Amino acid sequence: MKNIFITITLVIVSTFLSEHVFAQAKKPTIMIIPSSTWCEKNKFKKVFDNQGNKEEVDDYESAFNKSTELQQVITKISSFFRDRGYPAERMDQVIKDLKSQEAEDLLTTSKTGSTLSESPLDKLKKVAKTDIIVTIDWQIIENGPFLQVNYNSIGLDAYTNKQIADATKVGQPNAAASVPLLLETAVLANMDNLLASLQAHFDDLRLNGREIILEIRKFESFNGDLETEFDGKELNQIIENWVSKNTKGNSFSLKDATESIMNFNQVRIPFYDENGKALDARSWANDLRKYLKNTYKIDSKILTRGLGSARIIIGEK
Amino acid sequence: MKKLTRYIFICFSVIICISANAQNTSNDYLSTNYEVQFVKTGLQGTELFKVYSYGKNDDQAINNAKSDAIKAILFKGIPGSGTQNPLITDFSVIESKKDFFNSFFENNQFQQFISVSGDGTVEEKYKVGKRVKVAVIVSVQKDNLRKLLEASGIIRKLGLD
Repeated sequence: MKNIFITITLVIVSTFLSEHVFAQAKKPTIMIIPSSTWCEKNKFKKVFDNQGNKEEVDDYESAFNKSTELQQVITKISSFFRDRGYPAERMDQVIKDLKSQEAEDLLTTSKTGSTLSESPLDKLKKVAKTDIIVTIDWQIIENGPFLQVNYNSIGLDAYTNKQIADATKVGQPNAAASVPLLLETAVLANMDNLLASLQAHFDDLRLNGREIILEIRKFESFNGDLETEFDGKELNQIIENWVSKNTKGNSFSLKDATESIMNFNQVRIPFYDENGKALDARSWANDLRKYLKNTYKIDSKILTRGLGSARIIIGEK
Repeated sequence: MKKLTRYIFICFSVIICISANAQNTSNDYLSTNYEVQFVKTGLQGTELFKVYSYGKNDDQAINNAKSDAIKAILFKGIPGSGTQNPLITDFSVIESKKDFFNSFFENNQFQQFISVSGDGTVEEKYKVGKRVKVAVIVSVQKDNLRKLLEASGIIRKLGLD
């Protein structure tokens, strides 16, 4: 009798937990960051070494630590998302996670081998695993005693960097309100339009799936190329068929195809796998890697850039 | 026969009279017989609009202005405001959720989400034929309105579900 009671309790608890966890996994995540223009205007830039080329990139850590206005605006916008049942990722926390991950990567570089070069934003997206990036920018315009806020917020799909939402407005001139109050009003006046366009994007994702990029390359050491036949079919045909079968509504575009490269874009992958776990470019491309290994005994390696771009290199692991 | 004709005439007169007095909140949710201008963003979740509406007299025109402002937010969108796009984009819900809209407009449930700004003073007033056209400033509790629509299944919550 006692065992039956325990079993029933365990079943109820596990059912509840799995439903709860599943429900949580279903929400796309959002992160709010300052735009490049804002970082430029406020001198939050740092030099990034992109494989020997020095590039100036946004210094989010410094911006978040030093700008009270930025913290205030991000906190305000976050409260809107929270109110709509969508807690946004905290940028400061993501930066901390990124730093500890970078420290770990330094220790394991020799084991992980080469990777595609990633910008700080790519790394931030990868650590946050965020689906949507909201960039914000504002400018205080002084006109005699009057102050005005020119506010601009843009929603980007973290996978494709495509703009999916925007809200822009120049506030009314005000001689009495403080800058923080003007900023708060600017956020208030723009949020609903931004959220409405985000919802339109979510509707598109729900119907058509998430968009990613897939590139196929081959190692020099690979005995053959993408036109080599396996079981009577060319390798590029095998890959294209797999992509067709595993995209939502067979939606993809094969941009380039030669004996050594294949470039797919506008690849629409399902949002979740059959277990309700969110799919990204890596996990989806990993299924292709496994398929090639299990069916044709072809080794391959996956490299990723951010969440929405995967490269499979055929021939070695 | 004369009695019957008189009876029919009285009935028609009563019907016409009722129709003329009815507020502009019947089933014609998509009508555009009004103008709404964005004024400013108010306290969190509210927005102020200037609404031009018609009525047989001032009171009726003011009441129509309130329901018209709500209809504009729900079905039209208001340029320059935080609701440039209407809250409802799938108009099929007007038929599929008919009971909700009937109750919302006919039973004056919408009044919870709107108030005439200040002491209800008419900003502008024009005589248009036998009707009056008034302009009033109204304050709409947009966030609460959206929450009601979400809870009633009229619009979806933010996200994929």
